Amino acid sequence: MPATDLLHQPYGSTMGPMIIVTAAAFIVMILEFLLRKGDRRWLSGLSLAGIAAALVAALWNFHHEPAIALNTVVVDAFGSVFSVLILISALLVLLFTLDYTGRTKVASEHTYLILFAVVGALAMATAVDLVTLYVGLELLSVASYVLVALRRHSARSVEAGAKYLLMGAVGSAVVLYGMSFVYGISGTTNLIELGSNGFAMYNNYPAITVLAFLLMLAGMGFKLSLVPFHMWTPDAYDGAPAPISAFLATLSKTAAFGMLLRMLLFAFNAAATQLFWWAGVLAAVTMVVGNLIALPQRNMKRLLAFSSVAQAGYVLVPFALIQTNHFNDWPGLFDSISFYLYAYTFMTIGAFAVVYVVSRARNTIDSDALIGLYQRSPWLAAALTVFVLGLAGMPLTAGFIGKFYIFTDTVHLHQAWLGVLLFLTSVASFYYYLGWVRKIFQREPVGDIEPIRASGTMNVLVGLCVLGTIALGVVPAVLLHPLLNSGWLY
Amino acid sequence: MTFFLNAPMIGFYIIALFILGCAVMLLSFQRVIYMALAIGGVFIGCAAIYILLGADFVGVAQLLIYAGAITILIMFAIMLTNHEAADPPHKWTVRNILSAVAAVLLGAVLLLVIRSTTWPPEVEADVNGGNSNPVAVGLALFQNYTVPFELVSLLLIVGMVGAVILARERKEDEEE
Repeated sequence: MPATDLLHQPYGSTMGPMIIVTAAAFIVMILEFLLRKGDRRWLSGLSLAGIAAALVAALWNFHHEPAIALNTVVVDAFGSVFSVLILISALLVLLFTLDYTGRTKVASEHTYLILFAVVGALAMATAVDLVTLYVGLELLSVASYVLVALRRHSARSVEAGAKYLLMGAVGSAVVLYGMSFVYGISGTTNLIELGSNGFAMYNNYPAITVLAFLLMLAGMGFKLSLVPFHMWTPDAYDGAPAPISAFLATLSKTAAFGMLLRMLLFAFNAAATQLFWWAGVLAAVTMVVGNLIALPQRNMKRLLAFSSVAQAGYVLVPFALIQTNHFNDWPGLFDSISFYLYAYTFMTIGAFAVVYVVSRARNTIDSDALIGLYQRSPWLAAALTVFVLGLAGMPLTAGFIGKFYIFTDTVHLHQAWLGVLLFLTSVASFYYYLGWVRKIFQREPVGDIEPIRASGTMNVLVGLCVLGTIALGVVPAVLLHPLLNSGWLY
Repeated sequence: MTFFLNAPMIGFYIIALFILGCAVMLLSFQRVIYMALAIGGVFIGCAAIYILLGADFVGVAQLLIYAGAITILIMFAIMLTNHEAADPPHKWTVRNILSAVAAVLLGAVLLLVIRSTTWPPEVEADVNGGNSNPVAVGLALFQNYTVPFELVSLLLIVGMVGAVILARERKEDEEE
């Protein structure tokens, strides 16, 4: 590539959101050094503005023709859908953090660490080069390890950070080992080149290709906390500061799913029929085990952690369906994956937020803290009920539509056993989700009831999440229509 | 068994054996300072492999940065933070035995797959594309891998800031 070419690449469209967030992160970092302690609070506002600007840029990209810069970063519907979701969750998590840091003192550097993590996540959603994807993954992971251990004086937070660091490092190493095999037999790290000669790869080296596929799937499985790689999840979510738990459960998972899908699809599309059923096995185990171990949980954050394990299993089901021979059905599967992730993000961040407010007010994380919530704060009670029913898959919420689409996909593509399993495990999940609803509407036996008030920021955050959950449940076409009409892959 | 007879192959097996020996020692030592020495051995062995593969520049950089700087840094950190306490001696519990079995199985699968594959024939072309090795590395960094190169700089900042946040003592970060 001649040197002049470096200047004439579509950077604005492909890397626009990434550049905006990076710039915001650096500005926040420098101002954080310069400003005195009292003036630092409006830096959160600045980060929010940065994320919002990047969100506008990412939304704008929906109308952009697919393009590629430096053979590395692309703009296509797939990347835009995931970038927008990543930026929406970043916005919600930053709102959450704003309230959290008002009550608990943590190092003020967390603001730009979150922004840098978002840059990594955006790279994972838009890059088409194994090296870039891996560096994005590490950027997101390293920032998350620090964020989890942010409450340095709490032994649980530090333990959570250490566990997450160790398991995350193992996951990264496994992904990298898989990538090294792909590079070894193909001689390229570029996914577009890999995609165009995928046939030769599987036909000449079937055993190594299967091995590379499994290593990459398993390595990302650590990041997505799929069973049997989920052991760190409850401890990390429980020990981390509440907004960071929400961050790990949503933003981090969205980016990892985006990277997994892009990576496996481009590198292994030619051998899809022989390879992707492995994802089905992993999805089945994750759905069953995730839901079963959630049943006896009393700690609310641990329950949400196991619930997020189970939900990752649901999202993995469409991955298994990629084994179909009908390439025309693939866009429908991408729709199901991204729709479910949108729904899941709103419900999960909302649930973490309400659980944080309630546990803070009642001074316990045990689910008995929910008893009488309806009397203490009807608004929070109603919101939490919406989120929990959504996670369980109740009609009129986004969770139901998401599960319904995945279920119809399984039937349509003759993998009904996965759909039936999805249905059965969802029924099992009603047990623990409805356990919360029962406690919310149970009357407090003792007379003395103090109302719980959430701060303005939290009310806005919960309101946005309720709006997202219900709007996507009642009029899913708002999101699905643009998805179906877009050119999915570069 | 002709491949045992050519010199690079013999060199490779000696180096590989050295790396594996150091790695096993790293895991089996009970005192942290010996572990640090063993990891230095692993780094030196990797540098030798890079040089064997024709990546001289990467090999020397590995020697300077990892074997030189990072190992010494680890040893300083250990000496300054007083790690006299040794790990408790190893015991064979059910969990350990199961992990060992799983690890052996995984190793066996990997070895079987790798041995059963006929790898792409060795490419005669110069891996450096006619340039000297540092030039080839530079071209790769600034042409094919510009974006990851820039992202790595962010990664370094995050790593440094993160380490400082976790390690420093500062009054204003105290909770409540």
